[in-house]
Amino acid sequence: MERLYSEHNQALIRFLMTRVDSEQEAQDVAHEAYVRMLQLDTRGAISYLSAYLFKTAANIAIDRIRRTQTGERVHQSVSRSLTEAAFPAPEHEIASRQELELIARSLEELPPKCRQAFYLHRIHDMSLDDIARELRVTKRMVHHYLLRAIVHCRSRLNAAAQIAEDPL
Amino acid sequence: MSPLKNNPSPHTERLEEATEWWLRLREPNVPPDVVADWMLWCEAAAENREAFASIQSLWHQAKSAPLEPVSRGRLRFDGWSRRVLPWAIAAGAAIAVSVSVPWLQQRVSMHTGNGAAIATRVGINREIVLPDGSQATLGGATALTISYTTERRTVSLNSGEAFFEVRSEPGRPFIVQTPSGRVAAVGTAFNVRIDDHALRVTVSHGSVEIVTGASATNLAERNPPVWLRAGQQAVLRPNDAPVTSAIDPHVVTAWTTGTLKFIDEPLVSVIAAVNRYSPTRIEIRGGDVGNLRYTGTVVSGRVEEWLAALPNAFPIEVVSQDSDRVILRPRG
Repeated sequence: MERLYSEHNQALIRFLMTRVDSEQEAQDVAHEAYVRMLQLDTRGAISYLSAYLFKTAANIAIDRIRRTQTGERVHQSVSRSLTEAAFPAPEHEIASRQELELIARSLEELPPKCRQAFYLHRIHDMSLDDIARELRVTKRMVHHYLLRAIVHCRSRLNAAAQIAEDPL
Repeated sequence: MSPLKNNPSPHTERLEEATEWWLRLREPNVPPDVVADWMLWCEAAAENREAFASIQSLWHQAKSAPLEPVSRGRLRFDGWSRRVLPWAIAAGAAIAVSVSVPWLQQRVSMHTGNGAAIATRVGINREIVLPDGSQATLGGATALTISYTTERRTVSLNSGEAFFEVRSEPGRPFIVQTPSGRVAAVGTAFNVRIDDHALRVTVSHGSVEIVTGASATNLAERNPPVWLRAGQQAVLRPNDAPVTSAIDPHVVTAWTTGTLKFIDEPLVSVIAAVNRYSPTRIEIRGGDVGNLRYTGTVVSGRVEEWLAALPNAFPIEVVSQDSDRVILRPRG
């Protein structure tokens, strides 16, 4: 189990960050997943265990998100703001106001449906299936819209950072 | 095999790969295969991990960005005039039907970085893009490491099999280093397969030079180099003279599309290749069994059926040793 931890912890945190909103929450979920794994019979192959670890962690993350979305919203938001104060995000994670505005501006350069897909997924946590129904396009198209929107914004931010680094 | 692409911006391609993974990992039920593939991608290059982290931070930042929903009116005029829209929807639906299955199985392409070590699992082929834009298709249970310098592009194939499509760079040779020799090429396509008994090199396009010997770098000790042209195969065994023959390269590279084809090969080499695609490990007991010559086809994913049919062709029996081991031994 220790080997599993050292080999996969970074990857697991990265994986969980696709699902939860803070690194602290990802760490919590990862910890819970390891604890559940410890309770298992561990005779299986390590490869089986690692696959199972990610599955377990994903399920825990989903449970947590569901809980947040229902009755525990208030409690959760209080405890989250506390943990965020105790574990501030690393320097580069904190977005400046300009960066946030640049994200919004970059999105405005995209076609309306592409923008809307990103908006619904990011701000309203709407699933790809629901967005597809809402925009009357295929799920594959929604996937394509999100891909395009994210790559576009990232490229814009990178270009801006590049200019800030090498002023001419 | 796809032809070599001219990449206008490898940086954007990497961001697209990272975003593709980001979106795929967010799917409600991520299959373990996808997670394992993603981890392989992360290990393939530090640039991949950085790109993934940058998508992650964008995603988290965007939550606090001043985003506005798009009005219904504007959504209606998304790139299409009203008259075209119904046709566009119909066409979109038709396209969606034809592509829906490949999309689910489609792999994210994988750009690699210098110094990367890549190992595929049993039964899984993987296409990668090397730092210079050359492409490699890795067979199951194959391991290679990438070490590029300004003078040469070296890829060490430590086990298994790979098909290389090399981008031409005069003055900077492309070298595949294997435990038993090295293959040098300038702008060509060739297949390299290694097991405990032999090194097999087959050329699809162009030509390669193969150098073997105790010290491939020491001119005095090494064997005379072997030159291979397109449509030729060389089989090199320790302590034996190299054997060169004409062969259809498509037969040799059939594994890249899931079918292993063998022409008059010793069973011991066939089994070594099949083991890279077999859920159960196949072992040979009795020296004569390994020397039997085999010609035929094995389909990845149907290794068990192939094993069950082997006693029809050879005087051998197939014995299940335990849940993950099968023995081939002389009959009677």
